[in-house]
Amino acid sequence: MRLLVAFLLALPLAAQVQVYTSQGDLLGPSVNLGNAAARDSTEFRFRAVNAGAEAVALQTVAVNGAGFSLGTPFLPVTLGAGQAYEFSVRFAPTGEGSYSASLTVNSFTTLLRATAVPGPSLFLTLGGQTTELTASSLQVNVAVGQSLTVAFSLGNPNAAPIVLNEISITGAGFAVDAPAAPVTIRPGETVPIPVRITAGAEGDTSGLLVIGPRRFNIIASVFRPQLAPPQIVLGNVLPRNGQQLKIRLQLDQPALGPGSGTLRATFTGATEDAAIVFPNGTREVKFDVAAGSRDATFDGAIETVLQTGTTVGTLRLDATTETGVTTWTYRFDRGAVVVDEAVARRNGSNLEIEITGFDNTREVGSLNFRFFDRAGAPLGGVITTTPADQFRTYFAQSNLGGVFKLRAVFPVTGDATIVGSVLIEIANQVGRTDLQRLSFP
Amino acid sequence: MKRLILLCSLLLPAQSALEAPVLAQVLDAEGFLTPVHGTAGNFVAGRRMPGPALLAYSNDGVIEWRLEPGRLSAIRDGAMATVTTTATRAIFRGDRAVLPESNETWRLAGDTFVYSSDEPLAQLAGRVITWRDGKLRIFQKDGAEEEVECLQEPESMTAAASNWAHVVIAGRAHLLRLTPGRVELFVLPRRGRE
Repeated sequence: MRLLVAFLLALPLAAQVQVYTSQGDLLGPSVNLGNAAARDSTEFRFRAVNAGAEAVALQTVAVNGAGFSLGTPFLPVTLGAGQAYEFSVRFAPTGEGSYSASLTVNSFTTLLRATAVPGPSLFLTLGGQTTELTASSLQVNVAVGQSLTVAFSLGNPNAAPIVLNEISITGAGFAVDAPAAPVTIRPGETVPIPVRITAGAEGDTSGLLVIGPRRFNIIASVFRPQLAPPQIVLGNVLPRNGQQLKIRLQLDQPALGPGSGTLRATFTGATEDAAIVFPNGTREVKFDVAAGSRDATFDGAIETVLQTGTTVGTLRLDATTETGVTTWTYRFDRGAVVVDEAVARRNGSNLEIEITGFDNTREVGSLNFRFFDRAGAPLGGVITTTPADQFRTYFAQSNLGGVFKLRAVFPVTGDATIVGSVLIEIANQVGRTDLQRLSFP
Repeated sequence: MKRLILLCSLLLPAQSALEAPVLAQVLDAEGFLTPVHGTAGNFVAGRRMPGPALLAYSNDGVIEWRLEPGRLSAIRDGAMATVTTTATRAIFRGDRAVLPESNETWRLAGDTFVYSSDEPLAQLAGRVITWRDGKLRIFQKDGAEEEVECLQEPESMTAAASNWAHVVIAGRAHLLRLTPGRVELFVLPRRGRE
């Protein structure tokens, strides 16, 4: 320690320390800091530079004068050749008028001069409430991609009009909508000067709002909004097999920024069902949410569909964003055979019947056919067939869930033209399905 | 009363009585003919049919039209008619093929094509289909009118089977069921990864 003190004392103290403004101007015997608003607190930054070739000990930085103050400097410090030390002087006049103070940096002394002039008041309107801003800075949070307008306005608390020669803002992404200078504000008058902040990249950015003699810092913390998992809203009241389930995704609150996620369908059943897909042919679709919207879109459409397939099992939907997942599940229970289309036709002396439908149990057990003549009178009894083995063989090779197309052919011995219609029943272990009467053309 | 004996058969020789239903045939996004299996609203695009990519296709259950590079063909009742053409687009309506680039209309007469000066019929699978006020209106063969919501005007409509039309809306494929009393518009999912 003793060695260090001896070393510091041995360093040159004199004129090799030069002081500059933050704009890079070398200070002379006096410096005019310009105008500042009365009752405002304005910070002026300076830089002490070792202009010599040898190290120098910076031992003194002091300000002496009404209205001026200095933050506590961490001294002494040693400045190597070319090294700089930054410090700031705060000017906080209590009233209008001329102010001066001496600034001492080691052996260098200069006179700081500044004038306190009447300044406008700055107001912020938020949620219908207007508040005067007395601090010199304001921090706002802005989502990436969002354009935020801060409702500033100027007022004149003084007895005389104020003339503002400059209303401007500097800083990337900041813009102020103000009347062209010079702007005169009469006592009691209010002039809106909304500031628009367009957030680019994530991180902090700042803008300096200059209003005549006043300086005001706006610090924008730009964050990437994270999308909450949306609610899964179904357009169909009661889901069932063999349909296109209409699906929308909706946020509880409008999204602060754009976001995206995935909607995934998972099916757990006894067998695979290739029909369970979204329009893109897969079981996963991407969704997007625009800033300010509550609704997700799928390739620009507000709704997507999912085919529910024709197999017994459990369908689960997961709407996933980076912050979580919303899940919906539904169990498709075993049901009777569903017939989508049935056709009866003649082919020579044969009567042909085609039935297209699905059996989600994949266990069709029996088929009953009852024929009628053209007058509607029964022709003989019920013809029953039990094609369970044939269905079992077919379903074992099919990846279409419970979908089938059955073609029954009835060779007729005699005059087939007297047959007018047929009633068909198709049954599985759950129950029996009666088809509407089919007429032979 | 005439004597009548009915014999039920679920399996004809060399013909399966149970099969995966083919609802319609459509061109996929790359122009390959693709069968659509399943039931209404439960579609599965099958494997592409063998053959080259087609420029246009239509099949209303009566006439199957194909436009491929250099050739227009139609098949009705097993008989095929062909004509050479440089057309790359065609609109098929009933027995007429409109080639917009050359402003030609061909009519299928028997197994040959004849020039037609008639206004092409607006018929598609035997129905007249129009779009207006966010709805597709289907005038059935018996004159009955049915409608289905369709907020955007379709870019194209093509017969895909006797009771189905392939409808492209905002670049997305749909199948329109034309069965009387059961008209409905469905999304047609793309073929999944194979």
